[in-house]
Amino acid sequence: MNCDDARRLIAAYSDGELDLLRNLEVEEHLRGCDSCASARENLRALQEAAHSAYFRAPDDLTESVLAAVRESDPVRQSVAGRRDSRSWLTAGLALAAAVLLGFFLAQVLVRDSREQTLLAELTDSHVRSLIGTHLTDVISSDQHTVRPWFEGRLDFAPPVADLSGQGFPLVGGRAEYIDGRSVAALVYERRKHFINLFVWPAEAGSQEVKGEKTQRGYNIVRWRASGMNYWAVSEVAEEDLRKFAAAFSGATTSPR
Amino acid sequence: MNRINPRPVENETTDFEKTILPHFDAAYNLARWLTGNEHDARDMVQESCLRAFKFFGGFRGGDARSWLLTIVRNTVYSWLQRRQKGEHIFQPEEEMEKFEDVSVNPEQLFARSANIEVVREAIAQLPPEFREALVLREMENYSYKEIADITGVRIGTVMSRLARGRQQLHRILSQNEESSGGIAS
Repeated sequence: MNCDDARRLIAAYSDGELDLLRNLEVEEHLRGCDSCASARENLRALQEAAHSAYFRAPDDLTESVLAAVRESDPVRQSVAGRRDSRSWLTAGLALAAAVLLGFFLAQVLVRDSREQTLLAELTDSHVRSLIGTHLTDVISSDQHTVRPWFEGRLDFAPPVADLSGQGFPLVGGRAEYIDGRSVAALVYERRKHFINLFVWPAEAGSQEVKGEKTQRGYNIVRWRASGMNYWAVSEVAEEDLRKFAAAFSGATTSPR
Repeated sequence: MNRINPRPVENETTDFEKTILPHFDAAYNLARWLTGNEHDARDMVQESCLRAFKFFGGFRGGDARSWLLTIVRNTVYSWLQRRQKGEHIFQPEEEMEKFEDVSVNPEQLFARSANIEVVREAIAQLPPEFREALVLREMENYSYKEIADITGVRIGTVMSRLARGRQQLHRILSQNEESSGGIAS
């Protein structure tokens, strides 16, 4: 191979577009020809330079785009509405009963919308924790590491338990700011899936929210214990999530 | 697995998110290079993702990144066309220039290339079709064939655009060595 041939092929060679035979021929030539080898180095430098000019997406863009996509989705909203008609009926009856009884109608409505906000925010937080790099602020399977980490970051001390024995190893924790207050997020693993357990103190006099829910395909199990609200959010099966809730409650409310 | 889920509609956004999120940087990078600024690039990524979501039902697996980048590219070009109202976006292809030796040596080029802003300015000066080929090749590591598919031209055209884009980039980066004040850092 002469220099003209080599120069003609250097780009395709660098781009990995040559067949094996041509590739070997170019390599052979480059070993023996300083001038062509230097041209190849030039190209390599240029390629690296161009590669380094990559623009990563700004952090906040992902969320704003996903939010726009969700808003743009009339199909999901209408079908989800139809699908939920039975539970809406139930809710409607409950509401009617509340009206008839004359009890705290306004309060119920406020609570429902707050509940919806919470559902949305906690599910978003769960999704964000999975897609970003920000799953945990403190990575540890040791409850005695995770628990003290929250001190100073939160105005309350969330109970932390490692549930490896029950098949839910503790991965770590992070602090979140949700619905106007700091919330602890404990991260557990279940067969390669993650569970975010959000914990925050129940407001005095507020009504207990409990039971299962699904939000955008994620399962949510909620309960309250010792003055704390617990919301577990995950893509694991609802049954597994209930087991998790039971295991966590069992571990943190052991008899004193 | 999600596709056979009995609740596909609720999971649609989730499937969609899983599909495009890994390629979000690629989408932004391409939009950023084709629009030339952050503000328009953000708008274009958003518009592209909305389009992608609309067409997602028609996406049957395969290379999600190429799929998304093709949409980004189309979105940006129709936007540019609307904005420039018939002005030519692409300059006509010229004859392939002959390879020419340039006076700068690899060390000098390395030194200049170490300054990312200098490199970005240089790439921004390239004609859009060369810039686009370089972005897909050097930043996204696509093969000639894949670039040809995404940009809708023949492989020969891709090779010629790449060669000329690299040549011009090399020339810009090699020019006026003395004017490159801040390289030393």
